[in-house]
Amino acid sequence: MPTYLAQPPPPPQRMALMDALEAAGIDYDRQPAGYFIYLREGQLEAWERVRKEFSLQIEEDDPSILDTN
Amino acid sequence: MVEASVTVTSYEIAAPTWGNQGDITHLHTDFGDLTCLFRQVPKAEAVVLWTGSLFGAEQPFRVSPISQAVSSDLAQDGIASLMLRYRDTHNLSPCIRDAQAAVAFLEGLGYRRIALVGHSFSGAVVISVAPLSQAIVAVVTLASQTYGATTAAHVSPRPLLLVHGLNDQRLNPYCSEQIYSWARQPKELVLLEGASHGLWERKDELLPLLHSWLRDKLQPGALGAMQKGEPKHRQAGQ
Repeated sequence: MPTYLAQPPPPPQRMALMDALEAAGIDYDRQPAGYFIYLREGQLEAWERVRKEFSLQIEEDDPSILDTN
Repeated sequence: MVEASVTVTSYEIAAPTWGNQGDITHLHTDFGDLTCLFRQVPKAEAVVLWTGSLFGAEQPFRVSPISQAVSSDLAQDGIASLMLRYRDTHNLSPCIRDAQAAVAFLEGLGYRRIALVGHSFSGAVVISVAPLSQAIVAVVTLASQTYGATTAAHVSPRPLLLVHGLNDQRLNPYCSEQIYSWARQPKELVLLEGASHGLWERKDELLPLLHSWLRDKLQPGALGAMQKGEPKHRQAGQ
């Protein structure tokens, strides 16, 4: 399933973003480069809702985590 | 890394030498002696443990300005404060033991509602110590490091407040975001624009936030199921 690297939204929205991801059951990892989003089967629609709600910019599709360290 | 239990064998509270700032208190434990500044409040049932907020090798000790200011406000609400000086600053495992001993001391005095506050390195200390006592009902980290904080999920069901300055040049604010992502509800993340690692640039927002958050979370019954009956409190030294 796809993995995305999303740029962080403005600071006042970040807690709400993480709450929304957790409410949708979407796994994510906050790293210096941004939010790594790990989608499982059937989560694409929920992810699109979150992405639009927070106007998230996708930095990269299927990024290599090793490149960020 | 965390000892199962810590014993405070005895303690001494010196005469108040700092005016109304508190009393220098020495805790004698099974692993050595600890020094604290204890701001007692008559008939207090709740207390805030400010880990690592007392500094210096000998008197006069220095107190972090955040703990000094907020503990003064909390005292007006009937909430005591204990500022803990570490024996071995920046060495995580012994600092966790120090904080455990301080919690044991406060429990021994009859406090049944304890909040922990840790700044920077001490953020990892309070996250590590929080699950070890049911008397701990709330946790605050200020500009916390992530090392030693990966067990943040275990703080729940206690409320966790994470505060970080967006101009922090020592520990990037994403550290607190990452801890937030590891933690479970109830949790809150506050990112302060214009604040550095010390957070003092935004003291006008920070101090009232800490005061009100701690006061609310230390109310009787705030944590509901975690409370085990009413506290049987007595003043230290009585």
